[in-house]
Amino acid sequence: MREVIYILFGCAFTVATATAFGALLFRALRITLRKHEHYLLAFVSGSAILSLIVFLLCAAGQARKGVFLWTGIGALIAWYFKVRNSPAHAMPPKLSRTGMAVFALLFTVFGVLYFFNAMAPEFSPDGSAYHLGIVSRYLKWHGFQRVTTDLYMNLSQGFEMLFLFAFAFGRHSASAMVHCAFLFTLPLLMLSYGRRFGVERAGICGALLVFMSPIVGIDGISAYNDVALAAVAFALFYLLQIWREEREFNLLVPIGLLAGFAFAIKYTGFLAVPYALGYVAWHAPRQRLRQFMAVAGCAAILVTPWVLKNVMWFGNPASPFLNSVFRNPYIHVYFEHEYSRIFRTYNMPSLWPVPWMATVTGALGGTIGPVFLLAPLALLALRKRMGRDLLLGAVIFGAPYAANIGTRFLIPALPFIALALMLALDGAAFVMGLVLLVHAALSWPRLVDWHLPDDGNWRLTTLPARAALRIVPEEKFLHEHLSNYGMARLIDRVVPEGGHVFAFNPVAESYTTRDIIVYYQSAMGESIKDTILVPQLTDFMPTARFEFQFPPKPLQGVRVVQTAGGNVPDIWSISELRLFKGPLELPRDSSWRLTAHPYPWDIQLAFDNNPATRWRSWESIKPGMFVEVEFSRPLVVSRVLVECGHDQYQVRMRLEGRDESGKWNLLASAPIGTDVSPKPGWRRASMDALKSRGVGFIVLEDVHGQAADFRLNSELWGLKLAGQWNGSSLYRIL
Amino acid sequence: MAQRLAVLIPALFLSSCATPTFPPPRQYDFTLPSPIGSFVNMIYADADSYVVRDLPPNAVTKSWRWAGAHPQLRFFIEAPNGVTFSADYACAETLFRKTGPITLTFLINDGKFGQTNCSHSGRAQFSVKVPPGLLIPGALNLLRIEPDKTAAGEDGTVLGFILISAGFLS
Repeated sequence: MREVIYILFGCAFTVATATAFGALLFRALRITLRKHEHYLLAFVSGSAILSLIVFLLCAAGQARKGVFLWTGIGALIAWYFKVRNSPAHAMPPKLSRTGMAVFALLFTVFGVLYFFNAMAPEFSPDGSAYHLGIVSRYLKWHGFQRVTTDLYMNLSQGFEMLFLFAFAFGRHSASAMVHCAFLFTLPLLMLSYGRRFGVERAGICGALLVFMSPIVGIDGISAYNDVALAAVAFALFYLLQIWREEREFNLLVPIGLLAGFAFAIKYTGFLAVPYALGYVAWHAPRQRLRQFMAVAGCAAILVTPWVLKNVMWFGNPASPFLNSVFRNPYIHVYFEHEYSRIFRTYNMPSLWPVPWMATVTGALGGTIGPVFLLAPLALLALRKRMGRDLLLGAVIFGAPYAANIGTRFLIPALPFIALALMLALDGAAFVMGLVLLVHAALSWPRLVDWHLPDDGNWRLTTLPARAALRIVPEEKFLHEHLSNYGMARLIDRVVPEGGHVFAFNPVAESYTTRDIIVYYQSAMGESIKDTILVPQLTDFMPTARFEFQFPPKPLQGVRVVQTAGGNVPDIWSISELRLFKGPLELPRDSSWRLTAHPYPWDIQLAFDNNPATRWRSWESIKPGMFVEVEFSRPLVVSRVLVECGHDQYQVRMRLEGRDESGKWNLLASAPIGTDVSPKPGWRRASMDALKSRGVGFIVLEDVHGQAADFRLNSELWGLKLAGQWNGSSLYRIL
Repeated sequence: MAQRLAVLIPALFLSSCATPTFPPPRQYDFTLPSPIGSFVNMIYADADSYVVRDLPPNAVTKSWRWAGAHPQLRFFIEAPNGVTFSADYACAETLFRKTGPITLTFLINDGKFGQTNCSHSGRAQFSVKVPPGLLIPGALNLLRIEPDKTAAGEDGTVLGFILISAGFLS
């Protein structure tokens, strides 16, 4: 029971603190809103402020429970004393009895379902892995630390700051419940919008369409951030509409803050900033620049910290994206291209089935509900000004969906689509009611189970009240619902404090205190995976030898230049580059300077005498790529040997030498190729390379391609099985 | 001050854009002895590391071992092309009297590649070219030699045949 109290307190305290900050902001700016919208907009706007405060505390190394407690208490005290004497809020027009009854009934029924699901132990894939994995680390470290092995740490984490505040008191479920608070806030905001702007029926129906949508429900009860982004985007839209009516300059402050907060929550919210700036610039009657600057300045307060953090730590303001513009050692350009391509298409040959999958089958990670197939009817709302504004919002916040066609990426556009659709149907109350009824029926978990396949369809399945109230112990529930939870606990038991674990698949990082390096989450992770694959995959093994021979001559440096062009996906790689004078290899001298283009940061891997490691271009081959060695004084060289794998079928190389005048000349236009046999020591060399990078353990699923080789050749690798859980094995590197 | 900044700022930008260079790293000592090769004679000191099952050490001599019903060994194969399997084995007189002729079936990674008959007691040799597709290059490969008949020894142990050496030769 104590656990339940902590969870509820963690969530309620976070929501109350955010609301207090919002109310204080409105009070300071003398912004008077109607009662029904005041608390909702105060909560959302105050969340932006609380997020910023937590960021600053993290930056100062003061992310501690006690500090959070006093921050919240301070905000609540100030709220009580400052805001209690505020002028009375104007009362909204009353809701019709039918409208109120319909809304209250469906909101309560689905609300109970959501409340208990949010309160149950957190087992969502991303929530248990990185959203809360990051949060638990920040709390452990009392702030930020530079981590270069997890691309999710480079994303903006405005919402994780709220998770952190709640997590300090009520751990995982308290954080998930904060997101659930936004899930409850969103339909209430939509309803308020409808009441304020005289479209109550559309407001009620639109709000419920969004609230009951299966993907909105499951996402909103999890420690994700899509529903929060939708709520912030809609609150921004709402405030812009009020500003357009009232022309109150001070409203531009929360507008700017919310626009910046949208970016801070999720990169895909970045369009909120140009949207708010464009809207204000377009509709400002006078002093356009002043109003524009007010929004820009306030947005910058929320945007800048995340951008600066990335610039300072990763040399890329938009990390983990734009790596070909801001080149850095932390994320490979090749990875970014592949990552983006996969999320743009989910490897589907055609995008035509996407609307059907997103609304009906749920095969793209959930469904928004079949009634959203009616969405094109929303275009009828273009006849009204309000409809045009809503559809503009749908276009703006729906645009990032092209970058990731997972269903949940539609959520930020959903409130706008739902309201516009209901606005278009506003004259036909019966049709609206029917749509609502069908949507409610098709969205209830039991019925979703009945009409949808299970494959990839992320959705709520039960009402886990006993787990939420911890009558069913958290440990038991997580073992049953989170397949990699047991492995996370095993890692905590087996891996010593400070140990690093390399993983081929995500682990429930929020439930372990050890550092996990998931292979695809960083350049280092990809390089480690490559080192493991080299001794196993025939084409990766460094069995190819390319030898350049030329008359002996003194040189200041040599470089191997890649000459093949065209649209070839091959990645260039070199395991070892050896220089010879006659039959003798020139010993590598510490005065030599090594570099490469592109990706110079791993060039030492081609000069470490370890056959399992290799330098890779991590970009598709292009003419002009090179690997270069500069000497401190001229050396006589007569032969250059490139040792590499065969997995670069199109690569062509030539050798250049730098003469004593400093000019680069062609030494050999093509190498002579031969082959050698694999050696038994390569696996051990691979593990030694991992150990030198601080990795002491490897976890992988038993069905993984590498698992059989680990079992069969564990002695060659120098691996010992340290434990197994639910089809995954944890190996210790000896 | 302005002049200094005018020099410093472009210099900072240039330095941040320049391709970084690195010295050669500490050299890895790649002289590890191979723990398992492609051929084993039971007299080898490290013969145990080749045995997976059913070839227990012999208390009497180290030059051969009794193989049980399902003896299994492992070998590291560098390159599978042109590899010949060779085994030196024997059928013991005492056992032969109980079992009669024995057929030995040779499997590598569960793929059958050879068979031979022990039609009389005494020492024999078997060698055959191995189809390269059955071998995993650069990895440990599991060899099984399955006798079709076995008999109980004096102490009740299941005995199949005597193995002296086995392995893969390029």
